Amino acid sequence: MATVELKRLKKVYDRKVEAVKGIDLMVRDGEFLVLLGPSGCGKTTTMRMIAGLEEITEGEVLIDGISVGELPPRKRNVSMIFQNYAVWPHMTVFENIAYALKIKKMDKREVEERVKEVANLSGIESLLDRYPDQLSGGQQQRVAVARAIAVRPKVFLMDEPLSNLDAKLRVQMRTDLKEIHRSTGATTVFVTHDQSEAMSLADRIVIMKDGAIIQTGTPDEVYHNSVNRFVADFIGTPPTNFLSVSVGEKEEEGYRLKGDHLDFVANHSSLAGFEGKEVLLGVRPEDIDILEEAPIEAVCRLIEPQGSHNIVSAQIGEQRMKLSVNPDIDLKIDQPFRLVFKPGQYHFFDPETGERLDK
Amino acid sequence: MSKEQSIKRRNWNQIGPYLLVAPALIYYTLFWIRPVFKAFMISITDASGHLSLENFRLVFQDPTFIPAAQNTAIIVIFSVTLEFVAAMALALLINRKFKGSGILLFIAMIPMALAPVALGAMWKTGFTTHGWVNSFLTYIGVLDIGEKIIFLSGESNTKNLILIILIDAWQVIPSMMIILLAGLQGLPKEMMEASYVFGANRWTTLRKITMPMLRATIQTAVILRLISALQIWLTIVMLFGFGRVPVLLSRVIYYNEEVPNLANSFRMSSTYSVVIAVIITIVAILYLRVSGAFGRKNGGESA
Ligand SMILES: Nc1ncnc2c1ncn2[C@@H]1O[C@H](COP(=O)(O)OP(=O)(O)OP(=O)(O)O)[C@@H](O)[C@H]1O
Ligand SMILES: [Mg+2]
Repeated sequence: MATVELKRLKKVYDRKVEAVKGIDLMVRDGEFLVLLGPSGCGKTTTMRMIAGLEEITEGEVLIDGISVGELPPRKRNVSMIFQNYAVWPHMTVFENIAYALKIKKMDKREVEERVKEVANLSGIESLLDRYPDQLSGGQQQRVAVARAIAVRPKVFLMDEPLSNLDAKLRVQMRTDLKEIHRSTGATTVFVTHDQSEAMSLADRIVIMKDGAIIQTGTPDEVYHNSVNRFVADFIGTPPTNFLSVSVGEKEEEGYRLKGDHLDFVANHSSLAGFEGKEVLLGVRPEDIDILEEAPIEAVCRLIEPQGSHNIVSAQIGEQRMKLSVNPDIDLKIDQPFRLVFKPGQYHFFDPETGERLDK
Repeated sequence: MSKEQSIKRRNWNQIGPYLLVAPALIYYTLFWIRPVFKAFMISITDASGHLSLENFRLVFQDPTFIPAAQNTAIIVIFSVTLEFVAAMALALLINRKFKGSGILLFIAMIPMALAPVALGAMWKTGFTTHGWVNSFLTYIGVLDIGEKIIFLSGESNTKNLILIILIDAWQVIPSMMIILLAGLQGLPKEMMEASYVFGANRWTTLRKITMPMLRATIQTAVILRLISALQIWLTIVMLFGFGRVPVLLSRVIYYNEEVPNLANSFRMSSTYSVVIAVIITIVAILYLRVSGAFGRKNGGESA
């Protein structure tokens, strides 16, 4: 069992591209940690520095408290699942999985037992004699998983392991990976730019942007308490809606908020000091109620049925927003209706810095 | 589609492919198969035009045949081995893309641009007693002033062969390196990285991952090299003339160019070339057998 700690970890490519800008991070023992962020934010680079495949420009990587910066990958006791699987085409599935074990000079019978065991766990026990080009993408993916768990590493590194799979298989492998994580209990760092994947897998999510960590927290925390506009926008499908409102004077029940076709009162202490200024109101699609006597008037512009709920695009003045609506509610395109933001379920953000006001 | 059209289409499907390969076929028939066939016919007929194996008897009893075959074999074995190892090492080095690897690649490719004649001339002027190699060695202080190494005495066959192998290697390594480098650059680097992560060091990774995945490329490079090494002659003749270090192919040229007026010159040179062709075919097939090109054990690149 193991912990991974990053201390002011930094990577500069070719003396100019600052891919990772000195990040601090602690991965706890047995934790499933997901690095999430848009393309090019430095997730892969971070992971490759942990694995030892990329030189560290500055800072430290500690595994179990020991600095591994000078160690080659093979001495770090990590194992990795690559985005394009990287199963070796000239070896059978068995040989692929046994490769690391044979290098460790493990006894032949033991190797066979171990391979069988992990093949069972990954559901590929009938494919051991095949070559990778005789397997489907999903099966190759499972070989990569089996190969990675066979070595019983201290740390699992997975770089977008599901991104090459079709939607259905991806969801299934997601469940399987979680299952495998539960049964092995290995400390895992998982990279993805798919926020729903991150939400469903992670114990904790680390959200990165431009080589820096923006927020670290449980899926629940990053979803409901996003620290800034970027996170609120990145997490969730559809993402948080943002409306520009101006803060009025404090009244008895709270601050009066005015905007284009908007006029309502919100009791939010974080608005203190913003009287007379513009702020961004962020509200999640499911945190909006449709009621006949509600204060805000909107027009329904588009309905996207999802089965369990409908995604409704609504227009309030010139601003658009998306609502997650119960299919029972009868809405018609271009018809006006009234809505309200659920009390306590919306946040305010500084329009310039994007930071949340009530942090 | 009407019935008539579909018949037309079927006719085209039957004839079309043959029409398309026809130009190549004609070319090969005229310029390749015909002379090969002719040489073969000449080799199995005697002076009066009767079928006979006399020519082969003469070739095998030629006192120069055995030394020529030996020299060729030695050159092939040592130069191909040396060239492969050096070219592979160089390709791996350049593939690591360190600072200056581009310049190294450029320098390494210079010998490729030289024709064998120029090469022979260059080393000939270099290796004569007062040539530039001795001057250079003196200049950098390996030799004392006035001291000379006699490279081309021709007395020691071993020394001559070493010299030939080195010169040949010097010229051939770049082209082999280019082929291997192209193959290396076609390998996804995750394949090697996975090996490092799963416990292998560089040497194990090279042996277990890189080389097996590069097998098809290596086969191509080595077989091309084997064939051209079996045909080596020009550089040697430039350096030593025809007599001192005979090789198989120089015998063909010898009968054709040096003693073209003997009664059986043309038949001897034709027979020699047939013998060489047979040897090359056997060697090539043996190599492909041994290296496993026929039995599919799942080549990395073909997959
Ligand atoms: N070998 C390299 N040389 C120079 N720049 C690089 C190199 N590898 C990555 N970069 C740059 O570093 C930054 C981070 O890249 P990285 O691959 O870590 O992103 P990522 O978060 O994994 O993105 P993605 O989700 O697209 O995989 C990018 O701007 C990228 O262009
Ligand atoms: Mg990446």
